[in-house]
Amino acid sequence: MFEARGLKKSYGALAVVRGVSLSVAAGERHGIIGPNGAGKTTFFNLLSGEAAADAGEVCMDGINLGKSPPDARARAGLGRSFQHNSLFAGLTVAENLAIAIAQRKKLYKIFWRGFLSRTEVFAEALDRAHRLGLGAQAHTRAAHLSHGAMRQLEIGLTLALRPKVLLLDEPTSGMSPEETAAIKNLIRRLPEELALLVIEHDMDVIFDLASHITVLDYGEVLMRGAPAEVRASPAVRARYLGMG
Amino acid sequence: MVFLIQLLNGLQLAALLFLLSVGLSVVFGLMRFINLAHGTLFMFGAYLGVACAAAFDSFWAAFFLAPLLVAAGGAALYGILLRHIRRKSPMQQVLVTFGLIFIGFDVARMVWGRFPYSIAEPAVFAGGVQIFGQVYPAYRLFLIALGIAVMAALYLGLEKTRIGAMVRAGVDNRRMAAALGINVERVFFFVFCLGCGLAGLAGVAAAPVFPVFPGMDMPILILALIVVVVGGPGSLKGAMFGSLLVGLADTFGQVVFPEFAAATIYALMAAVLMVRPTGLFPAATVH
Amino acid sequence: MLKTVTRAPDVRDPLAAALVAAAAMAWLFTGDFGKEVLSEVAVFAIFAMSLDLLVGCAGLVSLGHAAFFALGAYAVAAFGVFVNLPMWMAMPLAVAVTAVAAAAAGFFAVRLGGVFFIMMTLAIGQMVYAFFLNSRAFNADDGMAGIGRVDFSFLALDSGEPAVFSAFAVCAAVAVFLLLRMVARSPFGHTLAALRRNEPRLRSLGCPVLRCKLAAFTLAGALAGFAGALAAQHNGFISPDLAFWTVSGEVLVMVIVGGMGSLSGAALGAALVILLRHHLAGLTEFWVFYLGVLFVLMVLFAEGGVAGMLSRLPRKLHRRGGNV
Ligand SMILES: Nc1ncnc2c1ncn2[C@@H]1O[C@H](COP(=O)(O)OP(=O)(O)OP(=O)(O)O)[C@@H](O)[C@H]1O
Ligand SMILES: [Mg+2]
Repeated sequence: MFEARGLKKSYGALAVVRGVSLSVAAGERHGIIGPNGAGKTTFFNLLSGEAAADAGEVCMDGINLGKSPPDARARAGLGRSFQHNSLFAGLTVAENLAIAIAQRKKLYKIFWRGFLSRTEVFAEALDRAHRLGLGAQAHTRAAHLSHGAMRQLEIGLTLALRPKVLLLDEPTSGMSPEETAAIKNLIRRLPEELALLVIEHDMDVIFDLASHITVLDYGEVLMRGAPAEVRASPAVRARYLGMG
Repeated sequence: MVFLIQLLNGLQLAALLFLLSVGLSVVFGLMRFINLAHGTLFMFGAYLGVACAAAFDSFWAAFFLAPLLVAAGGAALYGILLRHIRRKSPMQQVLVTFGLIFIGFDVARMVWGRFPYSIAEPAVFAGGVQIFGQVYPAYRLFLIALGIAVMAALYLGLEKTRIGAMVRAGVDNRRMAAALGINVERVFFFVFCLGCGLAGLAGVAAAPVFPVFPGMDMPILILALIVVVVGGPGSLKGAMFGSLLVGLADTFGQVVFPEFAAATIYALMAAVLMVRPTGLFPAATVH
Repeated sequence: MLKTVTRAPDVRDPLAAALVAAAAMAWLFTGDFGKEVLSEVAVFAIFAMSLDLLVGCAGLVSLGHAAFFALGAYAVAAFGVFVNLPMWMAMPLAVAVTAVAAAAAGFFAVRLGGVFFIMMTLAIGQMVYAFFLNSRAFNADDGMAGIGRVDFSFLALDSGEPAVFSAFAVCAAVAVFLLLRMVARSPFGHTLAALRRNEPRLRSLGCPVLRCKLAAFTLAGALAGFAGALAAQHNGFISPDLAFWTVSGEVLVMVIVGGMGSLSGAALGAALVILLRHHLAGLTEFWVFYLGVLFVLMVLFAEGGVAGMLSRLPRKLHRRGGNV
């Protein structure tokens, strides 16, 4: 249902992504691992349209997304979270979520009625805050949250879009073990039919969650397979697991 | 023949625009900082040139002194004000320099009044030169030569010297340059002062050709901004090609469509930006 | 603006109420000159509030907003003088023309980020200025006189009277304030505010940011055109100077000095700058200098402008009162 073919991207002389293909079926949980600087985040940027690919294409439900910008891809059902939190820092948790929900409902077209009168949006925002484990901080400004809570909100914003394809870039980076467990739970409870691509450095998380794993190295696919195969692969062990 | 004369006029405007825009462009490439008061420095270059020319009774004294004075003024401006707004948002930085335009405009009125001045061109270039059977003012040819000379000097400086390498590294990737131990802030200061000096040079060089009056800065600032946008910020090549394009388009635009002279430039800019939103030769990746 | 989401909506705007009250007092207790100034303040309040939608709400700084002010003025003059339409028809047509022009200019401007957008707006402003400066139809730099005013004879009122026109201008300003406040409080307005805070994230959440920015640019341009149409009637005269960069600069000063993002702050800024100009103009020839200094100081040290200072005042007084 979601497919990338031969994606390439260079920054100046530096080839960061060198022909990566990947396809994810509905309901699949696909992990991406690779050493620092392997081009994982850049690969996500190519998928979500944040960066323009030099070559290759991205298709969703058989439709080529071509050069469509990130907002069009998001409206088509592609949601992504960022490795470095990208929040509306001056707004509270609930307001952050309400903005995301409003985008999903395309409320930006409405300029004659008050936003605050859309009680269903704010009810959903509060509900989502609770489900993210941020219920107590629903009225705290995003800028004042702890790092872990910010990560949760970062993911929560993307989930508020109800994406069909979800890209998570290192959802548990910098989190405590408890927070990591909470995120794992959150990911487990995602809708069945959702296609998930997740970049992770935490091997426990990835081997636990993923049904398939792709190993990226120097912008290329080093290996792809079931978690057990990847774990057993000498090449991966040497290049990556051994290091971590 | 008219065509050739217009071509020379266009090149002369391009030379001035290059002097003005190159500082603007490289400073932007280095620090994401656009100094809208750059035109004001151009105006002060012209006024200080007028003052020096009167004081020393020599064009050449003005020609060499005025840019130095403007560069010193730029250094002072940086030390007093701009250094402290480096951490403010880009919007605030632009707004502060916009406020400086107002201040500079009225300071010029206070000191020199509202009536135009000019400098006599130096005796060497006072006459005309026979080109293709036409007489063309020698001073304008000198302006073209000046533009080319500065361009060559900047090219060599940027490509062959250590500080040039630092500037290029800084434009390319500021964080990386800082990580490599380059004092980006000092490089920026140097480039900023150099840019101010070049704006002053453009001002004094323009003074024999353009009337010197309060408000002379705005039309040329707009053209210089268009050069930066069209050429792509941060690169010498961008400033060069942008200046050529804008200088020629403006000059020929006035001949071909006098009623819509101004519009030709904006049409050019709009067309370039439609095709390449970051200009023709962007050195700096714009985020 | 967005601060209030999910908390009790702040329907009171004491500053706006105070401004309306001050306008009413001025209207009641000043002579014809005072009422002329009141009209001018009302016109510039509309102009400044329209810019505040861009700057304060959406975070789009325009240095060429006077382009649309001038377009509105020229359009109303063209419809009124050349076509001989009554002002009641010329005004909406002028606003429509300005809206179309703003949409066309915005089409180019909004896809440019940050500083590029600012430079593009500066260029747009200068382009319009140069256009009117060279247009023979509008008498180039001499401008045009003899522009009429809206006709209130059906109410047995003469709009040539400062009392009538200033009341009309103030009502127009209040209407524009209410319209813009409605927009700012709508989902669209909150989306613009989110765009100001983090455009890349908003885009990745599926918001068509270019279209939203274009809509804001068009609305702001149209309302600036409305202000221009009123200014042309108030002065009875138009000239290319309406589009000059100092006008764009001055209206931005109003927004920044008054306090951006609250609409009523922009209106306050308009009143302050115009009153200050009338006072300083008598004292010094170099009014622009002081305007520049004030502007730089406000940008550097008072982000919320005067409105921001006023809103912090009660809390400060309260704290001091509590200590005693
Ligand atoms: N916009 C850019 N301009 C220039 N170089 C870039 C850009 N984005 C990424 N790079 C370079 O591309 C390489 C890959 O970066 P990327 O962020 O994709 O790696 P990653 O696999 O996500 O690493 P990490 O595990 O540290 O997040 C790095 O060397 C980085 O410096
Ligand atoms: Mg990464």
